[in-house]
Amino acid sequence: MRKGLCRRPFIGILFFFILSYTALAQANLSPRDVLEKNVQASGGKEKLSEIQNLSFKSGGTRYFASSSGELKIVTEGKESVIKEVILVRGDKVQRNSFNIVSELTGTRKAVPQTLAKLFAGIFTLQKFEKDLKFQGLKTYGSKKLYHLTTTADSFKVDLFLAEDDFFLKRMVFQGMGQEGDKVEVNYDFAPFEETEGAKIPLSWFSSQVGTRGTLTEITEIKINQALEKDFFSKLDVNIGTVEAAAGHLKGNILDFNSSPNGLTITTNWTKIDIDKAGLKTGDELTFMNERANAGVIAGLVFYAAANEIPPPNELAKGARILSPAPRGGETYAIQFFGLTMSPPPSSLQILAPIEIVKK
Amino acid sequence: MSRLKRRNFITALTSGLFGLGVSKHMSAGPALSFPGQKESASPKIKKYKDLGKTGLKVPDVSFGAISLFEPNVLRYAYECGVTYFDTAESYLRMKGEAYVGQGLKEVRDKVIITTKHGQNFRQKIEKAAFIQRLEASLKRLQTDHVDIAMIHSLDDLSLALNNQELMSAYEQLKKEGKVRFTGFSTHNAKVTLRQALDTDFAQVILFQYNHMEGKEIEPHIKAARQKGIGTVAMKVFAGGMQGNLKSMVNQQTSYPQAAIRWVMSNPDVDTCIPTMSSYSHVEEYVATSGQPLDRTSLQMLANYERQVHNVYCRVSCRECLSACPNNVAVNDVLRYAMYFEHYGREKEAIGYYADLEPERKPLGCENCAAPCESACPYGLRVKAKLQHSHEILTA
Repeated sequence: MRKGLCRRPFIGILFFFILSYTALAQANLSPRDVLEKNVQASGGKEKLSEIQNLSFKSGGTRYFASSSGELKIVTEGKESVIKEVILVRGDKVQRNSFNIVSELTGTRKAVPQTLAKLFAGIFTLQKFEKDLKFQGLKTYGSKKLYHLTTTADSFKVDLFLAEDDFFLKRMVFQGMGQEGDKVEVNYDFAPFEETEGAKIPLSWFSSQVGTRGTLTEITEIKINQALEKDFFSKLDVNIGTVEAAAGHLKGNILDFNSSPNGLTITTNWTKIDIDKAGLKTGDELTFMNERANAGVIAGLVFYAAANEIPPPNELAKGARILSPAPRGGETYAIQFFGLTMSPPPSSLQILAPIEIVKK
Repeated sequence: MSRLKRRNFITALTSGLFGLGVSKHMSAGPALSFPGQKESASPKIKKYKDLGKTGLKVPDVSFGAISLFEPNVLRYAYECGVTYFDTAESYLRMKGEAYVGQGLKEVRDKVIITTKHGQNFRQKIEKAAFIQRLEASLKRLQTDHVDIAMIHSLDDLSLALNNQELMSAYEQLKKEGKVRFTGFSTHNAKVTLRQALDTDFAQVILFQYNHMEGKEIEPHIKAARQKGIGTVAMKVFAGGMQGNLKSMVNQQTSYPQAAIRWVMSNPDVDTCIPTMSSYSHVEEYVATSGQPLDRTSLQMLANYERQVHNVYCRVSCRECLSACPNNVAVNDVLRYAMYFEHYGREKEAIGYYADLEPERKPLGCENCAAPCESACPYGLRVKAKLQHSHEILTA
């Protein structure tokens, strides 16, 4: 009895010291230790080095990342349509949207650049190694997170690793926009799960300060796909071809939708094409769908901007217009009010050729 | 100290640490320990108010848990001083309460939890079945009681008050200590807030109130508050369209911060529940606690109003409803579209729309002369919006 009483405080003290030592050891981890544990949590350097590329899908966007730091973000439409490609390669971030190629700057450069590094390290910080600074531990609710910082373009990037499992929990971009506006983009990552041989978060929540944010859920995860040699240098989109001349436009169908309210055909014509054709609000056009004998041939009225379209009570049933796509975006759409087609005629196919001529 | 000033301060502080050489570059050689394990400050709630006559104290900025991603965000909000959390049985496709339970289980006795249950008054409501629903909520919330149980999205309070089964269920739940206070949420505050003055059921009310709509319900809010009813504001961001607008953040404030300040500048509002989905939302919104409505915020709100005045449907307005010959639930349809397009809650919005009776959907708009548009005091292109809403909500 006495022996037991003496032993209990001793065990308690020993337990206390073991706990304290463990906590102290954890707190005194070196930056390198933290990074190593982050890599180990995802399977270790050796296993990660076996991954040459990673791809996944989120909504209508497909991401392809190489282990050497290239990233291709492809926005898909229906069937084989590719509306936009963003390519991160070296220090450049380029975008091809509807065949208009531009170089991205600001957050639109910094975020994909940082994501490229993150994906290249398969969601670890190993590719940031040379640029990381350690800021200590920060408490978020019941969790403590290791706080590290780096930079991307002119933005400060805060990275937070969970103290318990060393996975990335949070990433924050901070800086100034081109108009002097405050930019703060936040990413919260979901718990990491083993998928297709890699440990990755299957979702994340991103928001810019002042907005509600977006939940990204990823699917169709693939590792080490056979990609063409020049895959990460091609910036091609697939939206068909546009020919524009005064009063005349040729192009293709990107999408079509028939509902009780009418038929909408989304085209690949952008404002640049419309300007080349010299169309003005009120112009009367003839629309032709070349493909089928029974193809649609109709008269249309052109509206250059959404706010120029007459109110619905003035648009008679059967009105047909060409105007900016009603759901937004960069292209124009043809709308047949009150015309429903179920099923749609065979002439209505994705990328089928279409044409308008000014009357 | 404003949020941005605080951030500058933190930045300056950490820069100072770099200067002293305590923060080390990764490639700087031998392993080094962290700089004193210092933590940067998180914003804190600065103001607490009485929630009507419930005896509960609530922060001026509370937590709307309609769109959650990480349960620890709730706990972080608690550490920042947020003690009032609003959820509902239906949120996140029946998973919302479980998130709240998981995030707050360790601090349950220090926080106030409100949950809400929708009722279909066209169908028979059974006392036992409703009690089971509430008990299932308690299980998901990992608690033995909720502080406030509300009827979700009520257009007419008399429907609830006249339902003996439902009233009896709430009474029993209160007696058993499973519910402390009762109330309702509403998008029809002009009617229901008036009705609330004649009953003791409404101890706390959650209503739509923001800088673009709600002026006309302010007398009713005041009357409710004078009666001792707790007043909680929701949908404070007036449609939450700021993500697609220009200049909604500047060096002094962001649009959500300005919108929260506007709502809380009404002394008759006890608290508001902006949706907090991430750590950054917590930091951004909590930083407005105790902040007065200033000129910069008013300019920001005016800028928002300029951009959305003829696009944003004031859901509680309801002027178009009597004009519609087809009895379309215009405000509900446009509210679901708002959830779809601006709240990032596509699947839930599609679900809500699917549950709407077919005769209240905009299926007969095609040949209609759209009297709803002349009835709309704000010049919305209602017919086109309805048709567009139907399209996206049935895609």
